[in-house]
Amino acid sequence: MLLSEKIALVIAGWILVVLLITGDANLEIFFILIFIGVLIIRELTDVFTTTNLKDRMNMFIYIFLIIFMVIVGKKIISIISI
Amino acid sequence: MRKEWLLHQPHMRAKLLGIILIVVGVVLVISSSILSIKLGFAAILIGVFMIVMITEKTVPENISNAQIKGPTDVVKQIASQLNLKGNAVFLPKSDVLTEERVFIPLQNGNVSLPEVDNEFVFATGNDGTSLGLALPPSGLSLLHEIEKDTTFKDTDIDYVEEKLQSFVGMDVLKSVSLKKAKKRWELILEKPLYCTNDETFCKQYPCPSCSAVLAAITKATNKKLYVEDTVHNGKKTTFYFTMME
Repeated sequence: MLLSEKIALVIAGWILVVLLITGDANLEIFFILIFIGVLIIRELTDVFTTTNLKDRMNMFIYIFLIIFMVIVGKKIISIISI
Repeated sequence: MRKEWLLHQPHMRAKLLGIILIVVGVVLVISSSILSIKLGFAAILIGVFMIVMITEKTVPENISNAQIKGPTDVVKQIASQLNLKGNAVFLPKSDVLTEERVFIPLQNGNVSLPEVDNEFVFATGNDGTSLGLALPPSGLSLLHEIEKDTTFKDTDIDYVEEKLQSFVGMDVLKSVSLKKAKKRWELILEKPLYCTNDETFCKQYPCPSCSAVLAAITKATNKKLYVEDTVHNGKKTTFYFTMME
């Protein structure tokens, strides 16, 4: 099995675990937990991965970072409006 | 035939599965309950990960092994015809040598290495101790590919093992470990891509995967590396080597 396949499978497994953990909770927690998982996997596989694979993983991290910033922004706005 | 072959490719399987998951995900996201929306997002995310992460094309192992076997057999035959019995000495770059080389001496012990340059192949030294064959390591091109991601040049020996993990990342090996055992070094390589399982020949002219690792160590330390012994233990190949100034 290729390393990229292993990483994709681990991420898929983590997404399913997060889905089970969060249950009926809101989507924000769901996305943040997936983001944390992707960051951890990226860091743990850093020594083994090629530059190409790192770039592809980084692309997901940037997307999740934007989602995270939107979530945080929304929270701040809701707190300030109170 | 072509379609069948394409489905055997991991990236094609991943693409197919990814597209199915994305379609299922979109359908689930449209529905109203929070759980199905989440399930939908999970399916879309897994689908996208599958498509984006798995992109490498692969060649069946028997085909790639057959490609490697030819050149290896040629060297084996030449070494046998020349009656070379010595173990490999990996030579680092020098002022006259722009790439690493493997020198196969006539016999072990009392080897005096000739001055090897880029054109040098057959050593016909008069004293007999410098007789041998100097060839590019079989894994030199592989090392060049790996060096696109990791550079080994002038790396401290303590950090070489960490850098060698790139070989695991490239799926060339399952694991690699380098440690000092008394006066010599022990290099354990698990499941190299192509292995002749011929200990005598491994000592003389290692296969591309093992040879690329040994050449990387030579490059990192900038020292001559003399392969003392090789042991095959199941899927693991162990090289015992010493470094020469």
